[in-house]
Amino acid sequence: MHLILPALALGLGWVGYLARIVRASMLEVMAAPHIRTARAYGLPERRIIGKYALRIAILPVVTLLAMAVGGLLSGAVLIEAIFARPGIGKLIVDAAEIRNFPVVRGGVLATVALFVVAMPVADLIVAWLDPRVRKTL
Amino acid sequence: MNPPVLDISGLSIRFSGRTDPVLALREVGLSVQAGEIVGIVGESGSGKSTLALAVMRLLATGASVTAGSVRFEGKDILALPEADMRKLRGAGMAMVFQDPMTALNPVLPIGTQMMDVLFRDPALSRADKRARAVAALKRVGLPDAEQQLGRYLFQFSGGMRQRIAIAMALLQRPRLLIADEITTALDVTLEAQILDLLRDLRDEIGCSILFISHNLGAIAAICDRTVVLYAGEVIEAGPTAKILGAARHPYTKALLACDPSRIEIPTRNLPVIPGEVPDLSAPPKGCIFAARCPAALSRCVTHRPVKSLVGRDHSVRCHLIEGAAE
Repeated sequence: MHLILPALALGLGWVGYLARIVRASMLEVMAAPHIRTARAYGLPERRIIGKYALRIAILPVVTLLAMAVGGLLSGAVLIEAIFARPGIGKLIVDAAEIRNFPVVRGGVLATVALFVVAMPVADLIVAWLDPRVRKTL
Repeated sequence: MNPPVLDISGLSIRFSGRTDPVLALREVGLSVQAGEIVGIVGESGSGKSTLALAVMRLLATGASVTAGSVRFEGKDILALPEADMRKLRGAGMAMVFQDPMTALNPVLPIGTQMMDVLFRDPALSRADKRARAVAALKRVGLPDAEQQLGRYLFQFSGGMRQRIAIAMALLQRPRLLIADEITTALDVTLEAQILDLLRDLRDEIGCSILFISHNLGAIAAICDRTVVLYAGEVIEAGPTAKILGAARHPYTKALLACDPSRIEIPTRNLPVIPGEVPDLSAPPKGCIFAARCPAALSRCVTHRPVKSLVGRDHSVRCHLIEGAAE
């Protein structure tokens, strides 16, 4: 329960942004000739959107989400301080206040490592979704 | 006699958007009998694809039917509720598009896409659907059909892709197959193979085919009857041998004269029809071809010619032709 407000504060800003990207991406895919083909076979619209279009439209969003990890981490520092949540952000801030630099360094290293790992993970997800990308791996 | 599989009459379609509305099709009429292959020939922008999409009721938003009817097996499909129309798509009538690379889904295996087409039949198990897909792929000449189901579009060659698209269209044995420029993206040898395949499939399944092309050679090879479309109007229609051998309309004649495969004396400059296609946001009052016609009379500019019969099942829309008015 104590996570609801901090989670909202951290995530809400991304909602509109992501929704816009998904919408633009989806509109582009829905205009593609292969979607017209799926319609020409009378496939239910729900299946066309969920299976034929989303799989393609989601690709740019996955990459974007990985980049968002960086923003979320920096946001977490502030959020944790405001809501007094024990977390890596608060740990770094507290350590910096008492000039405990080894802890600051360790904390920053850990968050950077997380961010660095997020990108290849996103690439793997994209490759899993898109066989055309898989081919070039 | 049974009603024709497809009967289009007086069909007019308008595209409206930010610019002036364009009258893409005007009073187009044609019919396709059971088991017949009817060709639609015309240059780019003549409305061939618009006509095909209108039959499938898949026109883009902004396009609207302003007049006319499209009857499929006697039923007016323009009046059909969308849900009923969807049941017809794929099962009653199927369409193969020009470029299979963009017309099929790039991220789903072809087997998945083929099996999805059979979604309507709850009696079919996954294995049944799989078997049907394999059989269809084998029929269109894809080697190792079983192994191909898991592969993706980009892993096939152009000819193979079009074979897959045809196999997909025939999975449900439709009564009408609409082939929209399906050989345009293929080279000549592949084209001949695909045309042979279409003809064989027609004989096997007994479906009618609406074959759209700007390639007169392809039309000559497989069509029983041919309809010549110019700037959104049917200007001549008849048995293919008559259209290609004894054309009456000046446009058809000019079109035939421009066909590179018919030119006997090699020249550096290929013949062209002088002039430009009329602006369809304000189509001319008289004959649609009058402005480019070498034999135009004054009444060609002022009065629209009526359709007249010049032979058995051969009709022309031209003032210069004396024939029985229809």
